Amino acid sequence: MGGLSKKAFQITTIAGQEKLPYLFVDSGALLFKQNTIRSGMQEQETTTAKGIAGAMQAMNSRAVGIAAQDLAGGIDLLKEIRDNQKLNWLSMNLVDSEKREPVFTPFVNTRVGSTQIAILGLTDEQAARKNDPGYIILPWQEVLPEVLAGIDHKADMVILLSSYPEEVNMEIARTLLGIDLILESGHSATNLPPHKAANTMLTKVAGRGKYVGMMRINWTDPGHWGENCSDRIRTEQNHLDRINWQIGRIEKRARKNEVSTDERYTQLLTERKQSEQKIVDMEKAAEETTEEPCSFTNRFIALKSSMPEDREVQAIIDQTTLEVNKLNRKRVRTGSRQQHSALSTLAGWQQCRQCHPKQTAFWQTTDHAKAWQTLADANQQFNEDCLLCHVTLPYYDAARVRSEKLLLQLPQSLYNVGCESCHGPAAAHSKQPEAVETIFPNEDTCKGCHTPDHDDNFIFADKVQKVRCPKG
Amino acid sequence: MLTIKTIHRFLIAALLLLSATPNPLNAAEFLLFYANDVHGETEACG
Repeated sequence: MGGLSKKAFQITTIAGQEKLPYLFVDSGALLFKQNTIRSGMQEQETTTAKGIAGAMQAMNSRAVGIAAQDLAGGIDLLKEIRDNQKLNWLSMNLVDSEKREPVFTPFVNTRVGSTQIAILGLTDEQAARKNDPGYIILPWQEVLPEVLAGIDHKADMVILLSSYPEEVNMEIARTLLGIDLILESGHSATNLPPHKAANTMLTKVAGRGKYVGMMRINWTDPGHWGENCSDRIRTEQNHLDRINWQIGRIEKRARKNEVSTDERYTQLLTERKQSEQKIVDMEKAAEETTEEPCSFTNRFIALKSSMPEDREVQAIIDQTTLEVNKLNRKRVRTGSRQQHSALSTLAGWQQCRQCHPKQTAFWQTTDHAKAWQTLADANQQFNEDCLLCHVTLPYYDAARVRSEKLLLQLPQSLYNVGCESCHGPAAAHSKQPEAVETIFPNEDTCKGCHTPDHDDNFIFADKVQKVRCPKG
Repeated sequence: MLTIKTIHRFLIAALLLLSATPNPLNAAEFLLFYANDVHGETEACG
């Protein structure tokens, strides 16, 4: 949720700089991470969902598609959000099971600049929940052709927000005329740049809210997507610049003998070569062609932690975070008082200090010793998703930790990323130090928590220097 | 008194101002921002 305010800032700043009208839509999978709410987390996830909806409304989102994840809280929650947060849900095929009429708006008409746009919503039938009999989801074949016929010639451009998988959207594009752009929803590891099927462009943003897609569309020739564009060369050049920057960063920070074996570095070198060749080919094609320039450019804006935030949206997120933190605190306080046996394998850093005072003194100067406090400072100290990597645990398998409710029973001595986070459980070692050894951590130990999702600046050779304990 | 010279200068200034503003005739151009799968942790921790 933290990226929404950065997204809002980017949208308003870019639109202001370009001095162009803009449209902001979301194709769905907005409210929840999964198709069902986690056990014991109903209130927290519902509160977060409402906060997200409020933020989207503050960002002037014109329309939002409905995907399976959005139905995790039930139809009544979506209706409540529509009525209270004024979020414009779109789905033409999510219908009342008795009346067979759409529960939400099938499509909206909106004008952006001089372009009249119809935005349609389509929900994947797989999203239907068996325990919510109030609605059904009709197959797209039964609904979409009729809706398209109804808006024929009344809009300059038709955009479809679809939660169907890519292969179905491709089939829709090839089967039906009149859809200019399909924005797909759902999880995806990577961004899917706009690509054409028949006369429909399809695109998708990578999952987990780390990017926002931006198309600059010049719709002077409605219904026609151009093939060549000099802006594509510029886009590829920007991509090449980013690759070169990453290569330079690795070369600067890593030792020479490590660079050649770094898998990521090797991959980047390959990508650079491919990108350079692509630019050469496109420049050659641009010189030879006489076709019209293309009618759009596209880029995916990566949201980085260093980006500024929109104040209004951030205020909504802060308020939501406070409310959810209160609920999580209550959950921890009423959680299981009986400590799981797995926690008894841990000694705690104070026990380590008995024999390793020099190392624990050093550890106390590192960020690992403040890991829990950084959550508390952000009102996230009871957020189990974050807590997992900010405390000392016998293992860091999220599913196992959650099922054993370890985070609800954690004593204060295990707050922060302690000695045993890296060296493994040490209760047995503290009783028999000569007989029982601890683990010597390696890069894989760190990458369990320092994933690209949570640490976009992690270079092991660089970061390990900051936490490696002194010998002796 | 409004002279031809003054009017001439005014017209030149107006033309310069108009040329500095975006072409209002290209109103078919717009920005489309799109997202999906918003819910997630986008804050880097490390």
